[in-house]
Amino acid sequence: MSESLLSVANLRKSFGALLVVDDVTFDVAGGEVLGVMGPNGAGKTTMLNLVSGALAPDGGRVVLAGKDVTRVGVVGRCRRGIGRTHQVPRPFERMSVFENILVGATNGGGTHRGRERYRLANGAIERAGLSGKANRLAGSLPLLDRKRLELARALATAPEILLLDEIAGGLTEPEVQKLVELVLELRASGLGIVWIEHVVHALMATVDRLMALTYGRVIAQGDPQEVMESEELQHAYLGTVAP
Amino acid sequence: MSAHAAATPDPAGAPAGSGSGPRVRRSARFGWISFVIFAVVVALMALVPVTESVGNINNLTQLLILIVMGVTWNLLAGYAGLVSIGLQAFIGLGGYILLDLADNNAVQPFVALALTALLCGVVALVSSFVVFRLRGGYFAIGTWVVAEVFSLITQQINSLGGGSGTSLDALSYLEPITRLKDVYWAALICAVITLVGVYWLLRSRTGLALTATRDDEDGARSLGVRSTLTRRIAYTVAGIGCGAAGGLLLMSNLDIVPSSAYSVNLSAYMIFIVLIGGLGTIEGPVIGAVVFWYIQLEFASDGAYYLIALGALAVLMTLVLPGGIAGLIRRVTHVDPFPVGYTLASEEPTSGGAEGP
Repeated sequence: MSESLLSVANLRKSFGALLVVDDVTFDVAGGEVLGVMGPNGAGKTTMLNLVSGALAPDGGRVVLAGKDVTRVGVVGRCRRGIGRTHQVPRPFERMSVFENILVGATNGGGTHRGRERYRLANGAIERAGLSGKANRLAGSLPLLDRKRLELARALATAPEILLLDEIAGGLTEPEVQKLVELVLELRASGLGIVWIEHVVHALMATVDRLMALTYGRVIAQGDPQEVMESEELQHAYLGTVAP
Repeated sequence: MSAHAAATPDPAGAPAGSGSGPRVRRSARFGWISFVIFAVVVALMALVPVTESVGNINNLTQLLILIVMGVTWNLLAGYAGLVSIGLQAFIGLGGYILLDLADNNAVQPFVALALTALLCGVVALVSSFVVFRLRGGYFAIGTWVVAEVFSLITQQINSLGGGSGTSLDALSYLEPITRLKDVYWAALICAVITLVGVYWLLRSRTGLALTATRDDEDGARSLGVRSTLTRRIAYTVAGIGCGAAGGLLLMSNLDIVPSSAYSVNLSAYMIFIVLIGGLGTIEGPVIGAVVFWYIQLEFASDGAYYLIALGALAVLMTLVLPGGIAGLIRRVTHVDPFPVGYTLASEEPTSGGAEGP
């Protein structure tokens, strides 16, 4: 956790008069998982879109591996190693699962060729738990498999930073356990991970640090246990400070 | 919790013990049969001028031009998600560029045909910077506007015959029969190049990126797909194909008038061909072109009733048979004769088929 792989400073974004992301600053090192919590509408997904490059910020900087990528678009950031999943899955419905993942392996981080991209795609299928469904049309998948497909595609881009947007929601308990293991495994392989999640115990089992957002502002950041017990977080969720 | 000492460099994690990697199949079972049939048909078509009468040669030239147009429109609408009703811009332009090169600049007509196609590709590339600012229905209409602009500009150029049109003289060095045969062969070559070229493009990495962009542009971009560049390539290829079709139309008809060279009817024909044949399939537009060509040949003399019947048939087909004739054949036979996708061979039994509905 020496130097940060991803460094986000004073990120700001408003839609019209509404300030959605307000002065958000955090760092993620390789081999580190940062959990992000916050009530609905807190600006978590918008913050992720600013990091992935899907949205351009109104202010602030995004630095990846020492290089300022604030002005690099989503395509360039993916190719430089930022992979992400979408909260609402966006499969290529008329293509097979394998082809969906191959798009990531072909165009993402490594822009891999020939057999190498097949191996990458196949590995992502197994890791995301889609074995046996590779040749099915993505449009025919149920929601849960669509979420798995999101993860598989992101992994196939060979990211250094992985942005996960609520991938545990809807999973059964054993499935959550497998997901936790996978995230820990990815962390061990040196990836930096930012994970937005409402399934708190999954977060607590994996994250090194926790960040809490509400109304676009960081209200607490640091040791997961301390953040969970902080007055600010309880206030944000319950609207009142516990006695 | 972290007993994970060995760091794998590859985040997607190659499966343990997979030395050679997964086996990926890109051709259908007995896929060679489609290619043998294709080769035989092309060979027979190449022999047509030796055996057929003059009238049939010209008719078949028209069929080949329809195939070029249909395949081109299908590339955009079926694989790139770019529905355009303005590709006649490049058909008309193709005719007029050929006219100018051959008649006004003494370029050998068949050389001029190749140049025409390439120049139309360049114009398509440049115009994409304008029309790609539009999306969906606005793109469809916007490209039509471009075609109308080209038409209006052409009408102002007196050396090209202005609004009342003109005829191509450069081919008059050939005996009429020789001319018909040579133009036929040129059309056959163009049709084969278009088919093989589009098939190759769709099987390439660009093809994969193109279909991903078609299904979800933002999703594709988040996976590193240069979606705009990919679409630009497809639009440029469409410009080349339509330019060739326009040049061939002039070489076959010998007359050209802006109002018909840039007519929106040409787009209606292309849409009809692709819908009847099967959107988003390789063989669909060829089948559709044959059907349309036959209907035109048999019933065009019936005037308005012919057009009404054509429209009714198109509506009926989209309601009853959304996949067109090619879609029906695929559903019945479970065979994709010209696959462009990827199948993971280790999971074959679960595979229902490769591509598209």
